[in-house]
Amino acid sequence: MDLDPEGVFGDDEEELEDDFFQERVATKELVVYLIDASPKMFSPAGKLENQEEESYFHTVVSCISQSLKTLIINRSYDEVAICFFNTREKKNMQDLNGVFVFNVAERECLDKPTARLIKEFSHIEEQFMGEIGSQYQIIPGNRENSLYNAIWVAQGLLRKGSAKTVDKRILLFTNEDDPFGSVSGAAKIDMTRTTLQRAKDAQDLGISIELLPLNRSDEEFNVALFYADLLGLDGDNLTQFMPVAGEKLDDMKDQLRKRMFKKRKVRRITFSVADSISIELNTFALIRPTLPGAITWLDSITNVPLEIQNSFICADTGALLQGHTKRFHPYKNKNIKFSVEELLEVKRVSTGHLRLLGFKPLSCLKDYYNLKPSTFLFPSDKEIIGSTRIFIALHRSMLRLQRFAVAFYGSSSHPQMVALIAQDEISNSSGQVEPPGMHMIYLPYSDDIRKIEEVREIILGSVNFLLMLSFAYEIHNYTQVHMNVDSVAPRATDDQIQKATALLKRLDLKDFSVYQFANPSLQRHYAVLEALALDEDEMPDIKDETLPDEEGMARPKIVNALEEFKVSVYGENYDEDYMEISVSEASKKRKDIVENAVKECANYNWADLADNGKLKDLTVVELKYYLTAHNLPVTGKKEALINRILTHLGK
Amino acid sequence: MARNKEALLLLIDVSPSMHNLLTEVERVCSMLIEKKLIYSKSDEVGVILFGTDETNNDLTKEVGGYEHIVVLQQIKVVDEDTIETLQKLPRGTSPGDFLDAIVVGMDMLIKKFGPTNKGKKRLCLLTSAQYRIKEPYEGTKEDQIDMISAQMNANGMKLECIIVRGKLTGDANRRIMDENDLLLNRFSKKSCAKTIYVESPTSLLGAIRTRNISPVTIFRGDLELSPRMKIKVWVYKKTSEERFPRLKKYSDKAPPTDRFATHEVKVDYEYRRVDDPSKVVPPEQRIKGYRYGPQVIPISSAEWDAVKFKPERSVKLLGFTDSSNILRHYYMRDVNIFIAEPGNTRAILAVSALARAMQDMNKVAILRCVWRHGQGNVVVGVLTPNVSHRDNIPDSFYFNVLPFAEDIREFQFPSFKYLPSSCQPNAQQQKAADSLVKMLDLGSPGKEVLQPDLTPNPILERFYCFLELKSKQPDATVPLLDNTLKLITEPDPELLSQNKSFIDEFSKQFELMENIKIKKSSRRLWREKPSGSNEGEGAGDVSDAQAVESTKNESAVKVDKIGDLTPVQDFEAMMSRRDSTEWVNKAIKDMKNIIFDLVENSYEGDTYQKAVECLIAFRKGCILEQEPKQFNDFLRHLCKFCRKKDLSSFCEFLTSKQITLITKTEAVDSDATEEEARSFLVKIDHIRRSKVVGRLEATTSLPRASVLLLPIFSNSCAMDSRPHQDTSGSFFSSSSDKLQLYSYWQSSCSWRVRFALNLKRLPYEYKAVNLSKGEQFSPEFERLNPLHFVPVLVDGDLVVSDSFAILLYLEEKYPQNALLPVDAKCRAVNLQAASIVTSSMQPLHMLSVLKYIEEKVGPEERQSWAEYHIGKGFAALEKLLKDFAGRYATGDEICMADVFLAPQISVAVMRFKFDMSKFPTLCRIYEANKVLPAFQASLPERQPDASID
Repeated sequence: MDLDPEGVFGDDEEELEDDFFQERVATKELVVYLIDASPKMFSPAGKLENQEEESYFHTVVSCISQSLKTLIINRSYDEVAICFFNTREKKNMQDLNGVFVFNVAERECLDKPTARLIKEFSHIEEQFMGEIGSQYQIIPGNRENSLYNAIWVAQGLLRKGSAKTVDKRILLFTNEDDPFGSVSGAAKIDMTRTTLQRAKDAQDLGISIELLPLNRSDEEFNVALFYADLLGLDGDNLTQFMPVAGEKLDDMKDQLRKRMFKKRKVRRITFSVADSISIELNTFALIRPTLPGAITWLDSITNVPLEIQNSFICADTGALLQGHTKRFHPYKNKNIKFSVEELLEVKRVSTGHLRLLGFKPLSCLKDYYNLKPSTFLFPSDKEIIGSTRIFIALHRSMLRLQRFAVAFYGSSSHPQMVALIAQDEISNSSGQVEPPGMHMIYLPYSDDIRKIEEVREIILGSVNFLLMLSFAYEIHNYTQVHMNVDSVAPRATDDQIQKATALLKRLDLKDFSVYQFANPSLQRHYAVLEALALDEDEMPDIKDETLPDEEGMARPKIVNALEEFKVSVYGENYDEDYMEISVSEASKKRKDIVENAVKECANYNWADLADNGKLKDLTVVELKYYLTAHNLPVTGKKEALINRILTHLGK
Repeated sequence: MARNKEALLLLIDVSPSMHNLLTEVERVCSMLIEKKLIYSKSDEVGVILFGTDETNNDLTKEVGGYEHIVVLQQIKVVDEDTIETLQKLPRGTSPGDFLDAIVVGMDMLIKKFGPTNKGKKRLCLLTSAQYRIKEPYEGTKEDQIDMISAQMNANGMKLECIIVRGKLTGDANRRIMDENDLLLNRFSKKSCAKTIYVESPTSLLGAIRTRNISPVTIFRGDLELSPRMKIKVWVYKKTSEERFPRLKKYSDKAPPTDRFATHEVKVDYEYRRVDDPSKVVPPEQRIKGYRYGPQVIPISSAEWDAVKFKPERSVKLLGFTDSSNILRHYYMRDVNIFIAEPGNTRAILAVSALARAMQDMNKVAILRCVWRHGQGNVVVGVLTPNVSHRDNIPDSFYFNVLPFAEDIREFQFPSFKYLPSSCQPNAQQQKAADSLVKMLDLGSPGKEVLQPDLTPNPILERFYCFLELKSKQPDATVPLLDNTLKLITEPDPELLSQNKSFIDEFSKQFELMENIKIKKSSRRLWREKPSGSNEGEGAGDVSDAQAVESTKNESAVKVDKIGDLTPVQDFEAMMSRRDSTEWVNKAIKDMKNIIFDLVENSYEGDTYQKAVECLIAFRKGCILEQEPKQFNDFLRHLCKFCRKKDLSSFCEFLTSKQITLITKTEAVDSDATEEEARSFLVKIDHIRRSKVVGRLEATTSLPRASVLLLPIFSNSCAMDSRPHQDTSGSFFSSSSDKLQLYSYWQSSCSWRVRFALNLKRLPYEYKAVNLSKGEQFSPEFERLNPLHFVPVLVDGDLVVSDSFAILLYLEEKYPQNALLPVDAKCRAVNLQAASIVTSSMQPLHMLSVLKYIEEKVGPEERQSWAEYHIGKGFAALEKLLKDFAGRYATGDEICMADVFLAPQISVAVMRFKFDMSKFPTLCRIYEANKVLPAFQASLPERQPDASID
């Protein structure tokens, strides 16, 4: 897919920068959602806020549809398949019992998610019992092993693509910790063994199996019973493994959602703490702006995608250029030429990747030291054993001593000074909210920081605008400044601060979290696309969650607090004064201008000038007197002004 | 003079106290001019020096006094000469009087511009302010400053004082400096002046604004606390990245004689249809499409405008929250600043009251902003107070954009507390870390270094320097990063040497080890070095052996790691090191890893010899150091590992080299007796053969000696899909319910079935049918296959003949390790390939056919007949698989096509000496198949009935 050509004028440096915001497509992922559909999954999992009961099955389905929606927005090249097991009906390539692969029209079983898939899947419960059905498959006396079959089918679905270039995953959702609990004796041993072997075979093929176990209200999901062996968990890993559970159903959903996505590291870097100590870190992009997808140009007649071909042409000769490795920059009336290698060389200023320079107290990190989203760092012992230990030690010290590290990040495209902030783990009932690790904040340099507070110049853009408006006047010595020379800036009194404090207390967002707002324009964008993709007639209505809570604002106590604050800083008669000032100042200025213009205008005999073709001898300023006095536009070149006057005079 | 052009007067102190800094001053001033030459070519610049030997200025001629001040350059439009002038500043000998210099500067500006160009006249004073200034003729120094300030204000001049202190020279006088500081600070109160203190040369480079950017508001209007309470604010950018300059592409097509050539490159875009690239689509026939999953949805701009999100321009308060709810790393972009509308006292008060209340209560405000009308973007962000400490600057807010829910990826990471103990620092290590964090201090109050506000961008500095250099010398090389700028990219050597003890303690406490299992290629990044680093060539040339440079570099002479090149020597050297007992352990550990790597990464056993050499050295070392357990455990583990990983060939190799456990007689501590050591060898052998022996004892027709066989099944796991049948735990049950394959070792058709059975990990009983002896015509065999062809598969009651049929049957009955892919297209290719081999190739060169040709046509025709048909078949296969092949015939997984192809190629090459060079794809596939254990085990010569004579 090509980007909008208007957007790709940037040169190589710029493109490298984009790397920061765009993940590499190389880490494509193939996922099979393997959902237990046994009757047990249809028992109520908990209550929603509106007291309605919801089954495990419903929880899982809604979480998967949500994650599919995220997938289609963020990672539309990933491919998914949805597969139920413990079903009455069967539908799969291998024709195994108890396994049903869900799919929709115009789509392979394992394929990119489509709007139709998401839509039909999110409504699957309505027809599930009728069309697919739920049934325990592993029962005494029955040779069927639906779990075995399910893994087999999933493995079959994941056959495509090489394990080297794609990640293959099976996500298994179940609330049954002991799938062979109903059988016993040799049959049980046998089924267990074959199933484990099946899982191992899949894992040997590079497929990772992940379990998303759901706690039942009456008992905790016991991973040790069976699944620990299937996943290959032992010792330390086992204690780390926690089933999805939550006091509230929403917490459970939260956890499911978080675990469904695989961590993707951006790159591996070395962090040199001192000359002899370099540790290994992985970087992750936990926060990056999500933008509406790129535009693909289509042929409006056939809707066939268009390919953009750009050719480089010599501006002087019109010759077609092939390679062009030279760049130039005009300087001192000369063109200074650079080779691409030289430019890269200029940027190579540091050894290794991340070099520690020292530590500073957190108070030194000002709020305005920011340029772009931060990058998360987490240690790894994969190549340098012992890295994690050093990282944890520094992490703890930095937290305890309230310090951050200053380091130099020497990436090839954009080397930068950075701050590393230690972040302690934060968890709540729905699991981890902030992972432990360090955040790398990209720091500005002196030339990136503007001293706005101290600016005293007139603002150029506005001056031009005002000049146009008040053409006839020498502009008032408009030295509007933020910093007043030889005077003291007004400061709030204690009373005013106190009123503000009261207001702050009233308008407190207690549980504010950055996770709470969806981007309304993005939501709208994709809702529209979804509707168009499904040929729906009506455009969806997306609620803008970012609007202030007007109802809350209208509560008497808040209104009072606001009013008191307003009176204390603005005075009693503010509203009237305000109107007067804002209206009068502008209009007075305008009125002055017009009055002056009318006065000046009277000095000329316009009709006479026009008849004799003398208008062109007047200055633009003089012409504008007439136009202003007659409330005509004053823009344009002299020719235009004269024509406008002539038209107005009816000549 | 145009409105956006400024006149700058540099007032440079060159008195003795400044001498050690003048190089940096020269640098920063020339940089300033360089940037002006690029971005504001019409700016005017003048240079005044003070503290010089000579005196040369207008005032001294007109009124006398003003000594030791030299006007180095009159105010003029920037040019090249200015840079040269600034790069050769004279070193003065007199104490400089900055106040005199300011007056001279003001005089020059007034004479040149009069009262015009308000706000565009800048005086930039660079001084260490270490010398007492002269007493005025009348009044106090303060009065004089007030007078000057008034003049400056009247003429719209700005003053920037950069006071360089840092390391003080010996004759510094604290009292004088304090007095001077007070005087200079008086300027900032009385006039439009600011004073910056600079501690280091690095900060000096960052302290002077080298480029003027006129601030533009991004929003002017109401900050709505509620519909009834609004504050008039102006919003500006507070930070904005100064980017690397955009360089244009250069075209060298213009003839050198063309003096007016622009050398620019134009880009021409053409939209062509994907399905028909010859067709260029005109603009009016193009429509934008947005991707939604695999679909691209066309939508015209007009339609899009009608449905897209259109918020109204506004800045609204959502509420306040504890600042702890907003973590620092949520900040998404460059930062804005909210300032109350200038001159609007009420707005200034409202902002001030809120900012101070927020600061007191540790709260922040959450805002929703739409900066421009018609702009589809809403941002939610956080307003933090910026309470001013200077009387003449009003309070303001900083604004940072926060992420939306879509922008956050909620990856889960393990808790540090749950990580294994090997990752947890102990108390001592924690202490070492604590002192490191405390001692490597850059932020002590008043002495903060690398403050972003004063830190220059080293890359841009370098670029502009290079640009200037190139303008004089087109073939100049990229300049080195000097020591001043290096302080930004590398730790300060001074800071390091001051805290050497803490760093050493830290390095001592923690041990880092390179994981040598990882391939070398991925370690490359340690060898990256900065360009222009003057560390010397020796240090830069990191050799392989030194790849651990970053982990522990104890000494270059002593071996501290076992390399891949000479592992045995390294091991011995390390074992003999006596400076620490750790070396023995490390040597053992490294050696184990090396051996494992060698075995695991071997290709057809090519590294086995080396591995065995290592193992022998290792064994010897363990006996010498009396560490038998280390070796014995390792050897047992290794053998187990090999069996698991289908590497039994290595065990075999070991046996042949007679390497066994270390016995009690060799090392007292050993847990292995002589007998155990002996039997260990046998055991390896036994494990390798047991399956085969156990199975073949039932088939009496074959001599036991020829049982050099077969599926090197992983430990006991040959999985089959009938697990209920072998609950006994024994894998080899009676022969009746096992698959039986009637096969002849040289038959390529039998071969493919053997290959498939091995791939599917199905154990089978080998029933030899000697075709050369005509056993296929025996009545017993005729009952199985009246066609008298091998192979024939017997599965319980079912008898299947014909290799193709057998394979399809196996695929259906035993779907594990499937050979037919799910994808219909790929499946078809596989079947097609199989059929080409079975129907268009093999039957045409089978023994009986060749015999027939020989008899009917002639013996010379036999070879050409075979060659013709083989060539034809391979050409078809090559064409078929060319676009499908991955590692194997139809992708990266082994499939049916491979099963047919590999034996066929092998037969063509071995039996008919067929030249495969015309079929690169097939060759590649064959090579990939050849190394598979399943294939190896199916080789004719490895079959029980093979007779090589």
